[in-house]
Amino acid sequence: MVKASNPHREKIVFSASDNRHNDLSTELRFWEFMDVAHWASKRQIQIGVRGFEEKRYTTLERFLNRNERNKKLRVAWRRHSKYGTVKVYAKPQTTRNFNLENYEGLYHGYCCTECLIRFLVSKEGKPYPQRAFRGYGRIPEFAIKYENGKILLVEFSTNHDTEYSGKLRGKIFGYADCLPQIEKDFGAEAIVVFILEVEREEVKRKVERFVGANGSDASLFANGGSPRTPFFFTDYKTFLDVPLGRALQEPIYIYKDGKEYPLSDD
Amino acid sequence: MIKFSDLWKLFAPEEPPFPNARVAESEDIPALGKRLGEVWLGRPGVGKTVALARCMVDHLISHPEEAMVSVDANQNFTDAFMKIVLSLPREVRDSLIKRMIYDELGHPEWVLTLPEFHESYEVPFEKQVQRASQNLEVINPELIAETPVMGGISVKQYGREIFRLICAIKNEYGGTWQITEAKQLLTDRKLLAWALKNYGGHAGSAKWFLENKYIHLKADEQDKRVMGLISVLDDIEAPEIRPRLGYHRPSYTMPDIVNDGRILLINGHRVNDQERTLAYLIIQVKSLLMNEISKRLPNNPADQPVTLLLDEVPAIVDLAGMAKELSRFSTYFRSRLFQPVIVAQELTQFSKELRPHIWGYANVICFSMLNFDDRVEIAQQLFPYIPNTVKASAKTASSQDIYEPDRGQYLQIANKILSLKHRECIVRRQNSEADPEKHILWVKRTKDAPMNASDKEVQDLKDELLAKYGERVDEVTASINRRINEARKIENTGVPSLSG
Repeated sequence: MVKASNPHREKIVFSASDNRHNDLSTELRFWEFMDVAHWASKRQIQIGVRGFEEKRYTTLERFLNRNERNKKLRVAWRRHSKYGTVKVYAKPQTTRNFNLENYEGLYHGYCCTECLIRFLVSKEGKPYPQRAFRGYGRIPEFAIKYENGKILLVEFSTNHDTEYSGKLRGKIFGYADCLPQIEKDFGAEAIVVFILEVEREEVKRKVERFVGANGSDASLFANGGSPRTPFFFTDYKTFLDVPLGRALQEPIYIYKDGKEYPLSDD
Repeated sequence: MIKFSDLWKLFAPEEPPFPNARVAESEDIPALGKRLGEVWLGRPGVGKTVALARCMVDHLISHPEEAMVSVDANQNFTDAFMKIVLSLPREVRDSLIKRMIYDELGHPEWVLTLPEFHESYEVPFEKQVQRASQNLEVINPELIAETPVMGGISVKQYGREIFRLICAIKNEYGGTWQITEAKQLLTDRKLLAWALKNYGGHAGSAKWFLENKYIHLKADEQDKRVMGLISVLDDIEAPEIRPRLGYHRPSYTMPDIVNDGRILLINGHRVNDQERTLAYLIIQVKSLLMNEISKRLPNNPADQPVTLLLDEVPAIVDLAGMAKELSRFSTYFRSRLFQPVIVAQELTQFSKELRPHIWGYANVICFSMLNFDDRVEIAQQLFPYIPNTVKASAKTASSQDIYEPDRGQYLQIANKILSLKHRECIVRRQNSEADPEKHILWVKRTKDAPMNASDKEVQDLKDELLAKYGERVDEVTASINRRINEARKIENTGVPSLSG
C-alpha cells in the first residue's frame, strides 16, 4: 500500500499500514461513537471520531463501504437536506425495526447526531447511548458524562413534536420525576438540554409557560421540596450557528428565569 | 429451769449467721470508700433498689457538690429515688430537686436533646468524632470483627471522615450538623459535593479523603464502601433516637452536670425492649461522661467525685466493648474521683469477660440470690476460707476433729445467702481507699427510707422536670428536617453548570 504524501498525513486515522494498533484503537472509537449516534453522515462520523472533518477521506469511505457490505452498518438516504441527498449510517442494533421510508425519523436521528458531535467536540466526556436510560421513564437522545461529576442529557424535538404533539410538556415533567434516580445511578449532577426546532421566541414562550416563575405550571416547580429543574432550552437554528467547538460555552441556553447562559465556563 | 444460755440469747446482741462477719446498722458505704466502686446484687423484690436509692439520696444530701448520673432501664431506681426525695423535709427536698435533671428516653412528647457534636461539651471536635465512631464500633462488634473490610473500614474510616465533615458544617450560631445527617451526605452525592465545596476547607482530611476516595466512584461501588456504615446509622433513625441526636443544641452537658453537682436521672423504661436503641443511648451518655472525666488531672484536690449508676442494664453490660470499659472504671478512674455503681439481679447478667472484673469492685452489697452458682461464687469471693472450721468434733480424746473443707464452707454460706430475708443483706465495704473493712457486715434490715410521696407526686415531678429541660419532639423533628431542606435549597438556587 502506497502511503499518501499528504500534508495531513498525521491526521489520517485509518491507514492500511502496518500500524495495526492505531487502526484497532480508532476502529474501537468509531464503534463507540456509532453506539451512541443515531443516523450519522460521513461528515458527522469524522467529527465524532477525529474531531474534525475533511472533504474526502477515502480511508473512512472504504471502511464504511466494507461494513455496509458486511451488514455491520445500516444505510439510508436522507433526501432534501442542505447538502442534497446524504448517505447516513447507523448500527443495526440502534435502528432495529426502523422504517427507512420514515424521513421524519431519519431527520430526527440525523439532528440528534449533529447535536452529539457538537457537544463532544466542545468538551471531552464519555457519551452514553439511549439504551442506558431505559427504565427511568424518560430516555434522552444521548448523554455525556464529564470528569467533574456532571452529566448532560440532551433532548431534541423536531418542529412537529414541539408544536403539535405536546410531547414537550410530558418530557419536562417526566425528567423532573426521574432526574434524582438518574443522578443517583450515574453518580453525577445532571443538566438537561432541550433543543427545539422552532423559532427562538417560541422557545422563550414555552420556557415561560412550563418552568418559568409565573408560568401556568410553575406551581409544580415551586420551591420547597419540589423536584429540581436544571433544564435549559435553545432553538436548533441558534445551536447550529454556534461555531464547532463552542456549543457548551456560548450563552445560547435559556434557563427558567428567562435569561441566557452557557452550559459550561470551561 | 431457765438456762443461762437461753437468757443470753434473749439479751445478747444478735450474732451474724456468717463466718468472719459482724453486725452493722446500715448498708451505707463511707464516702471515701465509694471511690473503689460498688456492686449491688440481689434477686427481684429483696429491697435493694430502695436501699440503694436511700443510700444515694443520703450521700447526695451530705455532699451537695457531688454529681450523679443514673441510668435505669426499668424505672425502679428512678421512681424510688424521686419518692424518697419528695418525702424529705421541704428545704432538703427543694435543694435536691433544684439539682435534678430527669431524662426519659423515648418520651412521646418531650425529648432532652443530646447531640453527638457540640462545642459546649468543652472537648475538641476531633475527640467528639472519635467518641461517636467508637460508640458505633462498641455497639456493632460482630460487624467490625466478622466483616473487617465491608463493615470495619466502612465504620471506622468512612465514618470518621464523614463525621469530621459534619462537624465543619456550622450555622451562624455555631451549631453544627449532626450524626443524623451522615446518611444523607453518604447517599446524596450532590449534597456531599455542596458540603465539600463550602465547608471542606475546615475539614481538610475529610475533604481530601472524600474527594479522592469516594465521590468519583460509581454508585454501586460507593454503596459497597459505605454499606456497613449506613447499616449502623440505621439504628439512629428510630423515632426515639433521632430527635435526641439530631437537634443542634444539647439540653444538658456533662461539664455542667459535673461542675454544678447535678443529679441526672435517665429512665429508659420506654425503650428497654429495644435493645439496640437502649444500648446506643446509654453508651452515648457513658462516653460523654467519660470524655468529661478524662479531662481531669489525676488526684486533683479541686475535683469533686462523680457517681455513675447503672441499674440492671443487661443490654449494655453484655456488649464486649462495655466489658472492657466497665473493668477499667474503678481502677483507671479512681484517681479522677469517678465512682461507678452497678446493680444486677444475678451474675449471669455480666458477660464472661466482665465477670472477673466485677469482683475488683471493692464494695459489694449482696441480698438474697436465687441462682446456686451465683451464691457459691459470691461466697467464694466475699468470705475467706477458715481452715479450722470444725465439721464434726472428735468423739474420743484420741481422735481428731473433722474440719470442713472449703467447698463445704462455701456451700453453707451459699445456703445462708439464699435464706436472707427481705431487706437483709451482707456487705463487703471499704472504709476508705486504703482501709478495707476487716469483716463482712451483716445488715439484718436495711435502713428505713421515707417514702410518703404518692405516685402522682412522682409523675408530676417528672413532667415538671421534662418540661423544664426538654424540647417538644415535633418541634425538634421539624428543626432537624429543616436543616437538610435548607441546605438543598441553597444548593439549588444557583444556575446549574457543567463546569466546576
